[in-house]
Amino acid sequence: MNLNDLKGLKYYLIYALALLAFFTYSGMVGWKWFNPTKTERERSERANGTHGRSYIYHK
Amino acid sequence: MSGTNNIISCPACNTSLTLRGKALTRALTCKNCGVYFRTGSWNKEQEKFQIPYTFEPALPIGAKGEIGGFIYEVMGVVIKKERKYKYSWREYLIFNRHRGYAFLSEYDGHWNMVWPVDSDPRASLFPGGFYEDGQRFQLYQKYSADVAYARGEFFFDVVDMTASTRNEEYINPPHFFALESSDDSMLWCKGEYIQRNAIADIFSVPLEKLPRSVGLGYTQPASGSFSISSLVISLIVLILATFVIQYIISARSADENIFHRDFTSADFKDQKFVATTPFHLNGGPQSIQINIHVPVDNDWFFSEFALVNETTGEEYNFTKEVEYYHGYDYEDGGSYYWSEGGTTAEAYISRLPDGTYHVNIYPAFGTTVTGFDIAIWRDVPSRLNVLWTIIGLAIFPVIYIIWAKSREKGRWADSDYSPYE
Repeated sequence: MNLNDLKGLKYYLIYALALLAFFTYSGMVGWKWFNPTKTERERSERANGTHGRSYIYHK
Repeated sequence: MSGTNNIISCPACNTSLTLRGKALTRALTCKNCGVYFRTGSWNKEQEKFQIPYTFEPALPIGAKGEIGGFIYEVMGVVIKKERKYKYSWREYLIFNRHRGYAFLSEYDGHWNMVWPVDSDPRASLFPGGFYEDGQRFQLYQKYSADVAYARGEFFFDVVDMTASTRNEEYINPPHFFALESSDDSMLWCKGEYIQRNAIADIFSVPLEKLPRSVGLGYTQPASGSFSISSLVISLIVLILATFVIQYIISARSADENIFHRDFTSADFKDQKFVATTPFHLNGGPQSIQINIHVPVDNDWFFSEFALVNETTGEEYNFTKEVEYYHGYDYEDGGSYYWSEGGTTAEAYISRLPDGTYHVNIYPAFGTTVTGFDIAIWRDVPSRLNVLWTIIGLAIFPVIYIIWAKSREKGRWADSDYSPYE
C-alpha cells in the first residue's frame, strides 16, 4: 500500500472512520442498532405512578 | 529515386519530400500520392494500401508532445490488421532525439505507450508467462499482422518487418511486455497504459477527436486509483479497530445486575400486573437488558412490560412471549423427537437517560405455568453492533472486488489464453 492507494481510498476511509465513530458513540450510550426489542414510548399522565396506561388484555 | 540534403523524390509521382527524420528515415509515404517506399536501394517495391490516403489519423504527423520530460514528435502512423481475427489497431511512431523512438498504440480508444528495452525481461518463467522485477506478466495474445495503411516516416521498413515477425504480449495492467520475433531477430518492448485524456493533453488534441474508449482496455487497470490488495489491507485494519473499540467498550461497561426476582401467580393477588422495585440509572445514557426465564413445558407465557421512568413519566412498552413445545412424531415405523421454542426471552432497551425506573409486568400464563424469573442488567454492551459495523465496513470492498473481478474476467474475453477458461 502506498500514498496513492490511500488517496484513492480516501472516500472509503472517510466513510469507514465515520462508521467507527458512530459505532463508538453507540457503544458509549448503549445504543443497539436494529434492536429486535420493539418499544413504544409514551408519557404517563401520572408521572410518578406505577403505571400510566390501561391494561391491555391479550390471548 | 534519389535524395540530397534530406530531400527525396517519390518514385511514383516524383514529388519532392523533405525527411523529418533525416538520415534515420528508412521508409516513408508520399504526401502527394500516398505510395509507401523505402529510402535505400535494396528494395524498390512500392506499396499501395486498401485504405485511402485521405484517412486522417487522430494524432497528426508532426504533432509534438511531452512525455516523461521529453518532447516527442509523431513521425508516422500505421494501421495494422491481425491475420487470424482480422481486427485492426493503430500504431504511431514517435521520436525524441535523446530518447530514440517509441510507439503509441491505440485500439478501441485505449492507448498504450510502447518502447524498446535492451534485455530480455524474463527473470523467471511460469506456464503462460514470466516474472519481471517481482511482477507477474501473463500471456495475453500471440499474433501475426500486416500493415493495412501507413502514413509518414519510419526508421525501419515497417511493412516488411510487420509481415515477417510474430508477436507475443504479456500483461500486468497497466504494464505489458511485447515480444516481436522473426527467424533471426528478437525485440522486447515494454508498454504502459495511458488514459485517453492524457494523450489529448500531451499532444494538444481535442479529446473528441480521439476515438472513444470502448469497454476495458486489455492493459487498462480493472480497478480505480487503488489496488485491491490495499483495499483488503484497509478492511482488515478497520475490522481489527472495530474489535479493539468493542473490547474497550465492553471493559468500561458496568454490565451490572440491578434486579433479580422470581414471581409466582401468588404475587399478583387480585392485580393483573406486578411491579419491580425501583432501580437507578446514572452516568449518562445507557442500556438495560431484561432476561426472562419461564419454566414452560408444552405451554406458553406472554407478557407486556412497561419500563417507567419515575422522574419524567416516560414509558417504554414492549412485549415478550415464551413458549416451548416438544414431543415425538411417529413416521415410517420410527419415532422422532422434536422441539420448538425455548424457556427464555431477552429484551434490550437502548439509550435510557438517567433516572429512577421500575418495570410493570402484565403477564398472561398458559395452562400449567404459574411463575417466571426476571433479571435486569444495566449498561450491557451490544455485541451485535460489531457484526453490523463489520458488514458496513465490508459492503463496499465486497461489491468493489466482485465488480473488479468481473471486469478482469471481461478483459480476458478477447484472449486465447484466458485464465478463466
